[in-house]
Amino acid sequence: MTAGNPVVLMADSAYHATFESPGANVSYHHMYQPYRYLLQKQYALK
Amino acid sequence: MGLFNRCEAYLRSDSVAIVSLRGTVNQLPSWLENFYSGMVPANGSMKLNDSTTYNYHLANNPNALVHVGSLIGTGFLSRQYEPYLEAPLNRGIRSVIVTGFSQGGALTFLNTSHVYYKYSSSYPGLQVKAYAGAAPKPGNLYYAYDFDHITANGWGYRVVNTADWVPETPVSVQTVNDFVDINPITDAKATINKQKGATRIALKHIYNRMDKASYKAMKTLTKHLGRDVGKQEKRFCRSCKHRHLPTAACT
Repeated sequence: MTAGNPVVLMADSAYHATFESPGANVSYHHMYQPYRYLLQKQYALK
Repeated sequence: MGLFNRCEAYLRSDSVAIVSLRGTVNQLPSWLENFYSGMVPANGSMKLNDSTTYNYHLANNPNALVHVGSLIGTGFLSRQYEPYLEAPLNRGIRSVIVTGFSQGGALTFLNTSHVYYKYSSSYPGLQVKAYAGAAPKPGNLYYAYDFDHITANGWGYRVVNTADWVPETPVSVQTVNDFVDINPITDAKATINKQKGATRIALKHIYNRMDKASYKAMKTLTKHLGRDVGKQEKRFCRSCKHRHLPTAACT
């Protein structure tokens, strides 16, 4: 069970267009860069 | 240290103490900590090495369970950052942020609980805030209730990318016994037995299938992600060569 107030970074079509999953790296969406991209786009992270 | 856990503790210019916990690194022991996801009580003690015992209280709810891999990490990490946290606390600083990403996110939950329960009574006014990034699940529902309670009103956050698989781990299962004491599920058989004929037989069949399937899944997970991984974990711990298992539950 997860915990904490969720800050959901919604991986929408624009996200998937930007971050196409390369088959070899299963942790691609776990990296800092996708998180940073979504935080900047959806939560105005500077 | 331990399973390649590391942290940094520093004091921000606005008098906020920050504990930052490292995530998984490309080492087998570090990955074993992630996979070692058997559930153990959130209160008890654990021998970290021949001379060190980690006494922990991570939740007030006696039904709270946490993942043992994260618990081991918390045991080793807390010994590392506590001197650097106690120094500013003794100087009157009462704002603490615990943060981490990935494995560090899961450790953020447990270490937030650790800091809160260890220091909140001796340092009145202590406020612990948690930022867990891309964090795996830390424990069961009752642990989550406890964490959300001690970080209520906006003091505990988890940041999750919906395309990321890591926050969906470790694999978990709920059986008919995993409910609060008063519920209609655990003892449903009594209600089912009051039904008539074919209805009773059909409901009992369905209930038994659900009960046995979830129980079998739980046993499988306990074996592979608890006992089997635990045997490997003791081989790779950098601090000792014995299994880290809770020795006793304290109150």
